[in-house]
Amino acid sequence: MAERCDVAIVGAGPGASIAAYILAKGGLEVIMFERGDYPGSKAMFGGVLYTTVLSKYFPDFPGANCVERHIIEKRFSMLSESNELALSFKFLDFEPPYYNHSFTALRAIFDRYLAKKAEEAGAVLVTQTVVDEVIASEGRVVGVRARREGGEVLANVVIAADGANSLIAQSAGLRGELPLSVILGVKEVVSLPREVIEDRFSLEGDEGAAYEYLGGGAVRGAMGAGFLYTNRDTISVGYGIPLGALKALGIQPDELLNEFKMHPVVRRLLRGTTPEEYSAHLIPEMTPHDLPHFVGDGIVVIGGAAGLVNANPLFHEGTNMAMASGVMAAETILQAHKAGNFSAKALEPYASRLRESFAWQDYDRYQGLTRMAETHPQFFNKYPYEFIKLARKLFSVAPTDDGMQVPKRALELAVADHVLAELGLMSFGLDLLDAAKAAMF
Amino acid sequence: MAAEVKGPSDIAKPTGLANFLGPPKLLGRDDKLATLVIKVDEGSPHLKIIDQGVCLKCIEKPCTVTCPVENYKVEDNGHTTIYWSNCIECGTCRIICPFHNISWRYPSGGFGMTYRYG
Repeated sequence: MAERCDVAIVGAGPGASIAAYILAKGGLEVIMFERGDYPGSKAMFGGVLYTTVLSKYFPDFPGANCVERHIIEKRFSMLSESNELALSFKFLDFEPPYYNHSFTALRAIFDRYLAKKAEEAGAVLVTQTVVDEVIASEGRVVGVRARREGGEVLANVVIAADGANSLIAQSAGLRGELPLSVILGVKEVVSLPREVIEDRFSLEGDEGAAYEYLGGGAVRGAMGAGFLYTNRDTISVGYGIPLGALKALGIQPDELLNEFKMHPVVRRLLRGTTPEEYSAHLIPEMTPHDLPHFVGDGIVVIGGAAGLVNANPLFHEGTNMAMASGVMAAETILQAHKAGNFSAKALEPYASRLRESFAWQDYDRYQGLTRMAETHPQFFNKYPYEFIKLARKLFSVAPTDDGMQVPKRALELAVADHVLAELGLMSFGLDLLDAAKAAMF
Repeated sequence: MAAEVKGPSDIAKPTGLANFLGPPKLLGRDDKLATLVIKVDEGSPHLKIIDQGVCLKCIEKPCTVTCPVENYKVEDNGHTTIYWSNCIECGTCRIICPFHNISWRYPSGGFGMTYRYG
């Protein structure tokens, strides 16, 4: 006879674990399936964890060695092949222990920490077990089929928390194939002694920095961005690029990473580093049309499996949205358990709460901006170059033939000329308007 | 004797930093793979080409340029081979194949790639 539990969770990432924790605390029997040797063993993200939701449930996390450094600098940089124009925001006035709720982290460490919390609350974690599909009966999900002898587990509710590829949501008929707007994240964790990192990035103690790179020098002017995040004694360096754009570039992803690492600007920050781990993972950037249904009869979809990411160049968020959706799913399931009804209708409050929360609102708002970027490649392959050229013109200290120097007025005029002739004020204005429209509606 | 004036080159340099000023170490594809722990499920490939005939007709072959570990190679006879034992389970090939011609699933539990950092 098949095993039975109240809730079967496919995946043991941050969203899964926080849901398992809440459900187990609520007295439900929960089984969480992890296909790797341990939670986080198959997971990868860029590197910054936003801890608003986490801190409510696990206020002691900063002392638990599960995160690396709290971010005190966000730096946005436009790269040409040899120049950089950057904007840095340093924030030193946020208070410990959570600072600005932005911590660099490594998933193989963090996911284990959070799964342990779920286990301590009574959830059962089954590792080294792949779940290939849901078990359906009379049009509703009644359990999951793990790939092993006697692997059928019946449950009142299944939580699809199996990340970007979510074969579970797909097997339940809640989603079609993933689109080419999905982003490939490619990363290396490179090591450097912590005092060298702190010295190089102007950090004190456990402070950290998050650098984002756009433009031709980052990923060959494609829509996408490079990043560099400081961990304790490693640096996460990598980039994200939509699969469609990667295909168009026609360059191997690992070569593109080496190219980014050897960019004259980036190279200087990575001096003396040794690669410790190469990794690649999908980031489920989708249009609302491609998103899965969040609920079905006997099933809910959370986190990356639900396409909940905010992957535009300004904000790279996802794990926080996963944890938020995990909380809302678990609370809805506790209600459904009380009522003894696990139909899509009974689980619908999860979807409506989700849509009212930051997780959906941020996704929805910024995916509009991403769609705009898809049709305006000039934001990646033209404007960064133009702004760098303008800066170069203005800040050139140029000698004249008679041993004197070009007066600033001439430089200003050259800038004005360039703006009129090359940047194209009219088209730039229209593009900005498009961007503003996309950001506002 | 007047005190010696120290120039910039005379000021002691921190010893630790000096060891970390060389160019970043780059890895080729094989070295990148060597940074990963991969347990191969010998004899049971989790990725398969469904129909080689479809690959033969595919002009773009985007699998060969987008796989982050370059697992897709076109052989001399035009057939596409998947070096599946190096797979890092990202799912790119599954989506990039214009003909959905790759049978894709995760390696069995406990097999495949393990991240130590992630």
